[in-house]
Amino acid sequence: MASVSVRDLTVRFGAESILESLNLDIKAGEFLVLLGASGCGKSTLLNCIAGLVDFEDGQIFINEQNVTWSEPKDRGVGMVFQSFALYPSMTVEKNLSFSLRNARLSKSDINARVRRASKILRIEKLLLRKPSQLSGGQRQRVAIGRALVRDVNVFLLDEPLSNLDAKLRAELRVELNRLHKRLEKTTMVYVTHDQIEAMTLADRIAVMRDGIIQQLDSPITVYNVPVNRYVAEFIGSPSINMIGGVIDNQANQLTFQTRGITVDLSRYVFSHKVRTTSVTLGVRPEHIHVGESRVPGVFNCRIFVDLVEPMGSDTLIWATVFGNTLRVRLNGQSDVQPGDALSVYFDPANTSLFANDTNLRL
Amino acid sequence: MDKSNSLDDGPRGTKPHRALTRRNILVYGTLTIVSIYYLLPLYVMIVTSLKGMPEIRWGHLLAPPLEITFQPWVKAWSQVCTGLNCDGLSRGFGNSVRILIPSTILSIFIASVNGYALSKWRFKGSELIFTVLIIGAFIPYQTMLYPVVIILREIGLMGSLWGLVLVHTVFGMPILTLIFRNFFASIPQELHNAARVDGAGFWGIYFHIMLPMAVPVFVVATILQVTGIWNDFLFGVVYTEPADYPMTVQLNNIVNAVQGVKEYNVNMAATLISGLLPLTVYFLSGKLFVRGLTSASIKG
Repeated sequence: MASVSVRDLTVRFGAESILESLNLDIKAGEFLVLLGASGCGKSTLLNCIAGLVDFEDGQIFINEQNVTWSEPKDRGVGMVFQSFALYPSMTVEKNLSFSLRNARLSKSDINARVRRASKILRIEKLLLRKPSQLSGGQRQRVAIGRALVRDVNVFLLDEPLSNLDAKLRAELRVELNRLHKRLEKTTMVYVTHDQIEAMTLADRIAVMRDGIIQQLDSPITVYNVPVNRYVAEFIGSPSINMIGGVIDNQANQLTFQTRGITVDLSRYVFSHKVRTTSVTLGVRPEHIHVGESRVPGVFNCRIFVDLVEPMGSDTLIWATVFGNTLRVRLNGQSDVQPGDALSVYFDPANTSLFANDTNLRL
Repeated sequence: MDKSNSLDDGPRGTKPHRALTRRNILVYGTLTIVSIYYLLPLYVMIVTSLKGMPEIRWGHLLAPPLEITFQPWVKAWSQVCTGLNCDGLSRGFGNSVRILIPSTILSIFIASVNGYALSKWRFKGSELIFTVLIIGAFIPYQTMLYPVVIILREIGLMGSLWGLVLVHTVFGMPILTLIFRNFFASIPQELHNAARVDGAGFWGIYFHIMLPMAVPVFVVATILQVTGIWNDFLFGVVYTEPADYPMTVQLNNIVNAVQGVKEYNVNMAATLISGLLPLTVYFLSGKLFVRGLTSASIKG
């Protein structure tokens, strides 16, 4: 069991600041996903934990030990890279045992560990092959195995599935999930820009932007209660509908108003005091349903269909309502045609309101 | 029915290629002429080296020998005199080998470590060191001749084989370091990081990860160094004593001897002998050489 703590981490490459006084506490045994667009500093943060980047200021603790100045090999971390980074001149077996040979373990110990790891990852039959003779999925299994043989406390995974095709990615995602359940004592820090990987694997997600952690919460919380506009737009596919408008307060009855629309906010749970009137309403496409609702406070309206994107499992509809574009995601297949008018409703309790001046959720 | 028949008409399968197009004639014609132009002197040398002196005096330069004799080759190798020594080119050959082997190994080993350190272990001033090395590649050797003489004198290596080995190692450094640095820079940083996490140090990564990947580049570097050092004349004549002269210097002394009859056949044989090693290297490594050159330069 090992926790990871990052204290006041500052990283600069030349004049460019990558991370500025970043703090992060990862619990022992946790699966933490660092999620963000490319260039947000998530890989840099991971490399700092691994000890591969020289940083300006700050401290790294692993298992409550200060490892700020320790060599990567002395930190008890295993790392899996996006490009797999297998040693091309070595067989799979030598790739797996390289770290053990560097640590001068006994032959029998090395063999036992390689056998155990290759069994877990089902690569026993590939041990004598060179990396060039492996498929993408097999390569990534070997890369994971290289971290597995070392019995490390912390797994660092840097976009491990990004170089695989969609089908393999889904398969290996499930396997990684199983692996984490199996190695319940191992802390995992996983960097990705793929929100599906983040949602499905993480105990907690840290959404990063420009070197700053925007939100650190469970996947469901990040999805349902995004702290700001950026997180709301980053999580969810198709992305959340954003409608600009104003908050109106009449006789203690708060409403959201924009071109032709008035949304009753009595069901909306405010987490902050409203200090501004200029806001944006975020509604996820999957929270808009076809039909009419009689529940008080639920918003009903008619939309006009512009475009229909059938995806087999569900149907995405692009529509307009009083000049606002709205994406609606319908379950299953639908015979809606462009030009149709539809009655839809959504529950304001499932929406998010963002202040336009701070972009924070209200 | 008719419609499907009309679709079947016309060309089908592989498009035929004509051999005698204007383009082919032009390309292959040019290549043939250029080849003859370059191979003719070699032919004359081989033919002359197999003739006796009387036959040479007839003046039929291109005619094949009427009577093949290997005497000129034997004389060139073991009997011809330069200065006081009359043991032929074999002495120079031995010297050249003794210069070549340590110079090649030392320069390539040091340059590969340089290239690896400069590309994978960025340290303070690494860019500056690299720049200085590159400038070194552009400075004409002649300007350094005398300063190097002084340096060698001061460290007591002037006139010895090891002095020449040192000079070859140092002067080979810029271009070899550049080749190795470019190659190692093309190896993904992630591979280097993976090895660091796996507990390999500077030398561990060099020997276990980088070296096996760089084999083609080592082949290129070896070819460059072997042919370069073997063919070197200037450093050999400046920095060694007559007893340690490399083959090229000795060859020059044989061919340019002013006393006695000019033995063209012996001269030709001596020249061919001294060119045999680079020639063999090229023949044996032709494909590897091209592959190494492209992998070293394109990836850089």
